[in-house]
Amino acid sequence: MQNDQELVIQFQQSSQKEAAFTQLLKRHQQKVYYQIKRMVNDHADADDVAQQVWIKVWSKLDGFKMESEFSTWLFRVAYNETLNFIEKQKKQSSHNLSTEILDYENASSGSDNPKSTAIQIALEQAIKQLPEKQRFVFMLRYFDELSYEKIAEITGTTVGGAKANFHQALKKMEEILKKD
Amino acid sequence: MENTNIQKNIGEDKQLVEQLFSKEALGRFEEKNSTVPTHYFENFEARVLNNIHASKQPARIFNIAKWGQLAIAASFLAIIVSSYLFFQSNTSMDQNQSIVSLQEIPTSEIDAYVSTNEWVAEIDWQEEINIESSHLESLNNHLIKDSNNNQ
Repeated sequence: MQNDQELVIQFQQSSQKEAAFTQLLKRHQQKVYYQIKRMVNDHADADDVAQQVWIKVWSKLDGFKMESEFSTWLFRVAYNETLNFIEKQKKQSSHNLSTEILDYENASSGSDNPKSTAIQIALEQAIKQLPEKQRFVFMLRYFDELSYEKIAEITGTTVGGAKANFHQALKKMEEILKKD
Repeated sequence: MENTNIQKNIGEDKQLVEQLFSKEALGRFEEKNSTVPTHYFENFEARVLNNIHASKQPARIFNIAKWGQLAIAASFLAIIVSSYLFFQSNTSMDQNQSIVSLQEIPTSEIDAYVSTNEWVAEIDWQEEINIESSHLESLNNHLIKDSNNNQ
């Protein structure tokens, strides 16, 4: 079984481009999707962004110089596409933060979510109120268990910056919990 | 060793999060985000490839082979060069013709042409002066007549 680097080379040499791309996609599609879904909350939106990410990967992979791991580069593409999407949504949407939180509460406490608990609602509210970058770093650290070095590469910051983002996110969530 | 340290640090950070929220709540949050429609990931690849192929559709008007492209370029070049040569030769022919025709006209004819036109011009001027003088004369007579009547 070929590793990511070999598949990237196969893609870049234009021999069986599609086969190499398909293998990379199959290998990483779930992680990319979950990373996006945690940020945008909605399946249809996550699907749109995920498709955009893979279309971008197809068009930019020829220029990828393998200075980092493919997966890091891929997560970086996903990170940028997700932030772009959230920015566009913010501009288009007339919903303010409180409405979004209310949506969250409704979705979490609705009949289709019988397992919802107060602490889960509080968690979702707290995550939702984090600035995008802190939210992203928090997710990558807690759920994907990535090192700060990798998180720094993905989010385009320093290792210190990534650490600071994670701890600021924790602090902010703690404050939100205390308020409630 | 380095990996162990990284894992240890991640473990410590996770503990910090779990002090704020229960593991169960965090687990449910992840479970909720991991839920996708049936066969979503199986169909995803095909949908992405369809989109890529759709966006790759070239805006092709003609599919011309390499030799065809060269032939078209050569014909354009030939048209430009022949037009240039044609206009160049026409211009020099006109210039030559005018020089020859001027040289061929006898001097006597040229003199006659000039003097005829001079004579026509003089006649014209003389007539104009005469007409204007008669006008002035009649106007003058008219004024004298009027002043005599008034007196």
